[in-house]
Amino acid sequence: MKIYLYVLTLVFMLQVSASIRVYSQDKQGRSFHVQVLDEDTREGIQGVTLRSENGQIVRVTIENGYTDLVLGKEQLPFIFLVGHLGYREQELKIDLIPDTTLIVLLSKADNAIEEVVLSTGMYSLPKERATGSFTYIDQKEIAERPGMDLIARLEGVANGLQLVRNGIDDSYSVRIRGVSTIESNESPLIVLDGFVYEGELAHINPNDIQDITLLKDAAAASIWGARAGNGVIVIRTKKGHLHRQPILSANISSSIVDQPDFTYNRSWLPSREVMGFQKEMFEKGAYRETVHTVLPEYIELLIQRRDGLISDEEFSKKEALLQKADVLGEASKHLYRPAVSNQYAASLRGGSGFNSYYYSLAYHDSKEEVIGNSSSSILLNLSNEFALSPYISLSLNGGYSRQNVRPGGLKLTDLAVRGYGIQPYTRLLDENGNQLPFIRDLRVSYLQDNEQSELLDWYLYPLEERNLIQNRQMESQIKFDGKFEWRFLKSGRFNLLYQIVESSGQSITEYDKDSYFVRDMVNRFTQADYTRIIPHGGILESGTLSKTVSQTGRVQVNFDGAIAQKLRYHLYAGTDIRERKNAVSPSIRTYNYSPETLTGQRAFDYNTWYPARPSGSIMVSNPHANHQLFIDRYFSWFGNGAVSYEDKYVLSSSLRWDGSNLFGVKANQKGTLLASSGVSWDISKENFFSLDYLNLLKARVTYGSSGNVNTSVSHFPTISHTSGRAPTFLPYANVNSVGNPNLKWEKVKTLNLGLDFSFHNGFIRGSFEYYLKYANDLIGEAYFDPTTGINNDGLSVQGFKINYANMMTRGVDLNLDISSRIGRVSWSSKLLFSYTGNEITKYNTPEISNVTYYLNQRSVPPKEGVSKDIVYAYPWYGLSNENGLPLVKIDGDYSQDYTKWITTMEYDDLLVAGVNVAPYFGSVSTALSWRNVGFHFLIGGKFGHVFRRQSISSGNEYARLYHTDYYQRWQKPGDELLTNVPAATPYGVNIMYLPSAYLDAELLVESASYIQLQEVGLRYSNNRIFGHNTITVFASVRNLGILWAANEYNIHPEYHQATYAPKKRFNLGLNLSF
Amino acid sequence: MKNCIKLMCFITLGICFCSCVDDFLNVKQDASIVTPNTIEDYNAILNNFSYLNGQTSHELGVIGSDEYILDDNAWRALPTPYMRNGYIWSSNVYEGLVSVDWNNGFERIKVANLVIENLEKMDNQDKNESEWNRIYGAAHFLRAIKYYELAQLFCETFKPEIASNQLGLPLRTESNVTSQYSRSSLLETYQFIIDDLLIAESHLPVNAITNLRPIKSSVYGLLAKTYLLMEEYEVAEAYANEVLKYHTELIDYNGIDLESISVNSLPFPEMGDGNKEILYFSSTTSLRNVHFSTFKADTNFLNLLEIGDLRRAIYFIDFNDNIIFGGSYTGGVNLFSGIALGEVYLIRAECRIRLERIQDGVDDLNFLRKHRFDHRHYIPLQTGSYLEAMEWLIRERRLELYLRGSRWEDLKRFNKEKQFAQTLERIVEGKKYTLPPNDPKWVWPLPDKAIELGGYEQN
Repeated sequence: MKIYLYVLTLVFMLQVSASIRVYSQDKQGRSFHVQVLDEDTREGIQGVTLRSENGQIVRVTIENGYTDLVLGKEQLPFIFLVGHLGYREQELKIDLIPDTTLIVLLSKADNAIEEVVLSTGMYSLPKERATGSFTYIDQKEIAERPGMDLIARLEGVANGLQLVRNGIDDSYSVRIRGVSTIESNESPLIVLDGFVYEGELAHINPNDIQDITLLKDAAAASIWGARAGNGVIVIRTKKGHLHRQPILSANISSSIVDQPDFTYNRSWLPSREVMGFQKEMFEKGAYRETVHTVLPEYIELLIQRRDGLISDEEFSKKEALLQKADVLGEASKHLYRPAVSNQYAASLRGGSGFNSYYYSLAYHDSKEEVIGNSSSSILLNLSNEFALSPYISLSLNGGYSRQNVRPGGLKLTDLAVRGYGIQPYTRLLDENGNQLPFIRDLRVSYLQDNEQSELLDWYLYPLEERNLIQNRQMESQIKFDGKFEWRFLKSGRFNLLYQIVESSGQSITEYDKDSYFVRDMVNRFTQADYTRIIPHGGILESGTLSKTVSQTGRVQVNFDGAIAQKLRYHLYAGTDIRERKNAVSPSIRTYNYSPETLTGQRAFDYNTWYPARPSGSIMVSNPHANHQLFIDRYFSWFGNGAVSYEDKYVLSSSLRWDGSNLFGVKANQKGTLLASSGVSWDISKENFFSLDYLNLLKARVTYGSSGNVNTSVSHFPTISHTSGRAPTFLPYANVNSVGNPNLKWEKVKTLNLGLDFSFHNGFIRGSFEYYLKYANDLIGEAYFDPTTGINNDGLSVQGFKINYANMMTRGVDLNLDISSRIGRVSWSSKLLFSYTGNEITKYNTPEISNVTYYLNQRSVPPKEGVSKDIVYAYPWYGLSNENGLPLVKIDGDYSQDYTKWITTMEYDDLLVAGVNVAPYFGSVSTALSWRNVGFHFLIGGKFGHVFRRQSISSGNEYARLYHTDYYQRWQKPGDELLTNVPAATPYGVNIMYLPSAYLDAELLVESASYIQLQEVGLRYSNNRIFGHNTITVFASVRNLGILWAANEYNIHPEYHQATYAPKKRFNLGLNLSF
Repeated sequence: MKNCIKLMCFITLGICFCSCVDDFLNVKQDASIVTPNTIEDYNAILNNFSYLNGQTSHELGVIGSDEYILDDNAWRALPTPYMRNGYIWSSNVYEGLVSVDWNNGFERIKVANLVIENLEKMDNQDKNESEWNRIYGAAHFLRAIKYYELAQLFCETFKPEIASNQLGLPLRTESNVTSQYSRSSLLETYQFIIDDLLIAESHLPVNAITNLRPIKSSVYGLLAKTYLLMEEYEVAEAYANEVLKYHTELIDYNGIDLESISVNSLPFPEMGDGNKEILYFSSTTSLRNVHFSTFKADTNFLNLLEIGDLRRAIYFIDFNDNIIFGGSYTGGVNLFSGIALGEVYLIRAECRIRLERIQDGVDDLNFLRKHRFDHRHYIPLQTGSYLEAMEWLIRERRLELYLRGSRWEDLKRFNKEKQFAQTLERIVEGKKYTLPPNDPKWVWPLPDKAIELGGYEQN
């Protein structure tokens, strides 16, 4: 593979030199460059048309405003009309063929509207001729947000897209226009340069991105067929262009994120309090003392005092030391730091009359907030296009990327004592700054006793351990694609495309022989006579190796043209074949590994039980031998047509058949036929329409279907073989599942109604869309008639899911752009607002005898008639005046019999507290610019959803569940008027369902609505500094904080269970192009 | 025009391409899943004897029959509602819970269907002819015997004159769980059983390495049982004769060492291994109603056993002040519910008596009795009266087929004839329950979930 890459690179490099040479020869002839720039910003304008005097379009500028012209001396003087939507048209007269680039400056027309070309991945179309629902995001929104992943950069920028966070950390799932599946994948399909992309987004260089288009409704997405049900994100990367001087562009950017602040976490009590609980429990004999089972440090201290091993005086001194200790402070000091990430990127693009190219190289490195965690990646992208003849072109693109992640750092959670969690008084260093051993697995007295033996030192020093374990996760991806195009007749194009993507990933961990990991393992295996089963040497753990090869081929025929100038048509049809093979091989552990000589040892007796230290018996863990292979195959054919008449009426329609090996055995179920169609009517182009202030009014209606896949279910019957039993001893097989020959795609039908408008020459413009999605044949657990042979009290056997459930999603997307210009100050604001709601319309919820099932925080069982995102709660009746515990109502009477209350509660007694995903969300962004300087800010908000606030779990302080609400708890009669936090129950009193009667009550369900200042930024751009080179400098800050939140507890609703809230991110970048 | 031709070429190419698509899409997604596709796989599926030959659908029949009595404490201690309700023929048998008999029967029908449909799909060159035949036949036999068992519990007894209007069972012929079927007529159900058995007969071998696998004689035995139920006595007798062509040897109970019998040493071999009377081995679950811990032999039944009938000493064991049943051909606590030679003799005897060849019938009865009686006490039956012969036959069936799951269908069958009809009685907690002949409760209701989700007509 590496050789292949090398050859590829060589070929590409040769191309560059060749093209430069061709270009310079051309220059001596009659060819020259034109660059069209914005008069104010001096930025190149793309899409400017150069028309001859008779109105015929001669050239259209590409990126950065470049194009080329070929003129013969005899044509001089030559007169052009240079024009672009949003700019004043200008006449250009050429008397002499210029030696260098001819610069044309265009001044902005008042209230400019930019022209947008949308890409569906299969073809591009101007926005005016689209009937479907698209969201277009240009590169600027993506490029200047370093250090973030690609999708996160779209938050607040892309209309209809929502990131749904889990409340615990930064991970999220993406929803475009809500959700339309119950059990299957919710995330949208990603299409990169016309091919379905299933790799890591980290393999895409953000600087290479030209633009991103979201396909939101059926007419837009249905061309991606059965996997487009969740919407499609189409990413286009930059390409070179013919006749273009090479441009080298370099980019450096950095981002710094503040160090985490652990005081955010309220599920915590300080050392003094926790030691109080521990002392009480100790006195009541709650800690079982054995020779070797680890106990928390304070308990050991109490034992020492009890056994008279230390004086009371010494005890008090040590106790005071622990009471003062704060593991959060220790962690902030020694384990965490501000995260820094740097990105360096360079690209070269240009083209001759024969070929064009875009090459880029990027290097990213980042140091995470956890000390020791870092990552780096290198991304190479080579794209080339050859004009073999006026009719034939060939493009060849290659890419290589490699990511190295080192997750070996030490986190706060790594300081947990086995069986006892994190002790708030844990110290890493003593008063003199020496490392303290961290007693994690075995009792300190047991370790002390072994100090004199032949065993290895058995202490763990966390800060040292961090440096003795090297963990690397490597992932690489190599990509190649080619596209052949043949233009025939006047309007026809024949395309042949092929892509192969190969990626592999593996995690390798090297444990030094001095690491605790190795010492501990050696000691555990050391026999009574001190012989060692595991040699005292390094250990190399090569994790599972996953290799994926995806191949796609496509044949496509396009016709694009016009009949009598008025009727334009665009038709295309093709077929697409795709395979993804994923092979996973097992992990391998090598003992006695020496990084110097690269030798190790694997020959062990894996089947013997050895006596182990401190007790029991132990086996050398058996090497895994199971390989896995997954093959996904897809085949489809598709056709799409759009006809527009006088740009007033557009009719579009598409048809696609998708087949896959994931589905039913019956041939007609292997695939599905998906169709869509749409119309649009530009009312403002009608003659009868004469409102001066309304420049555009276009109505759009589309309807169609797309699908979704669930790879976790199989249509094949499965069996497992077993050796035989008496009396015959014949080997036999169990039928695990008879399979489901009717398994099929989930189907999502979408109706989209849209209205595009523009007032006062584009001062206000925008779109309003309403959609309705009916998802059918959703996969879900189902009841079966026992006559089918499937039974488990009427509920399906686990894992037996069929297509039967339905849900409905509806919503509204509003997009409003306001832009104005006073003198040299231009101002533009963008308002995005979305509503989305869903309801499960058919689902067989199992008969659940106990309502606690619905309060499960991780997965709430789907239920007909309510949202998928529903949050239930118990009713709240306040605290008792007598004991400060919650009151409940049984048959209308107050009671404190929680068990009876909850076990007799019916589904209908539960309160619907809301949904946990925001039904309303939106953003406001504003950009101001004056000459070369720009300023922008982005404010985002989410509304109408709820989260469950955490609080104390009465009585579970003794089970290490802490919360600062403990200080607000009920302590004496009368407190119930002041607080809703129940009393703490004494040790040993465990009242069933008491904690959940409070924690799952409506009382703790808080509104999650909030508004956040997401980003503020400054930008300076100048292209007159060094000749015509462009320099751009930008600086921005993200996560500036919450401007308003509905909850009164200073809880960030997106991070309500997190140990720390997102910190400010400072971005800084510099971009140069020559 | 030229371009149009080119375009046509592309389309043609595309269509050719499409024809390969089926192969392209037939690949397994997860290669580590074991998908059955070879003869060995199907053989292994049918070798799952403890599953396929166990837990037969006989529980409700045993529960409702007059072969045992429970005292109030034992009755109250029964773990699931259907066991208590079934004992007193309550109208709400399952109380919303499942029917074990229904579930077990249809689960196995699903497996049989899976094997049958996949064997039929196999390419000819893959077929190992004799193995293919044997497995194909065995799967049909399995499906037939399950339908036979279910029909005895959930359908009325077969009445030839109205069978096409009597409710039968949903006849599922595919493993696809999403297909729906409605209830057939009882005639169709029996015809389905017979069709399956005829296919089984033509594919199964004469001998097998174990009586857990069906052979031709198993099929003949079941055909004889089926035709007997359908009152087609000539045909039933013919199939009984077919069995007796290959198998005639009954166990002579005189050869069993009575002294060695105890709870820990039951008289018959475990899993019927080597029991030459067994034409097809199958067994019920260890049903609590007749379990060692609960069981009390009905003294009325014990009194039926004449002096010298060895079945008294072999079937019944004194255990903890109780007399328990230890004579199961399973050699354990599970009841034998398969097909054994003794029954075949009884079928032929009944056919002959009913066909007015009373002496031939009585000879068959005597042949069987001779093997069950102490030779010193054996007196052959002698009669020329149809009624007397029938009464002997009914009594002999009750004794020979004691706790084999067939009493329920016999009671139902004989209830058709006034002179043999019987009313069952139970007394529980001082209350008397009766089940007179022709009471609709002779037919167990379909389980609630099946009615609800399958939309079947309830009995």
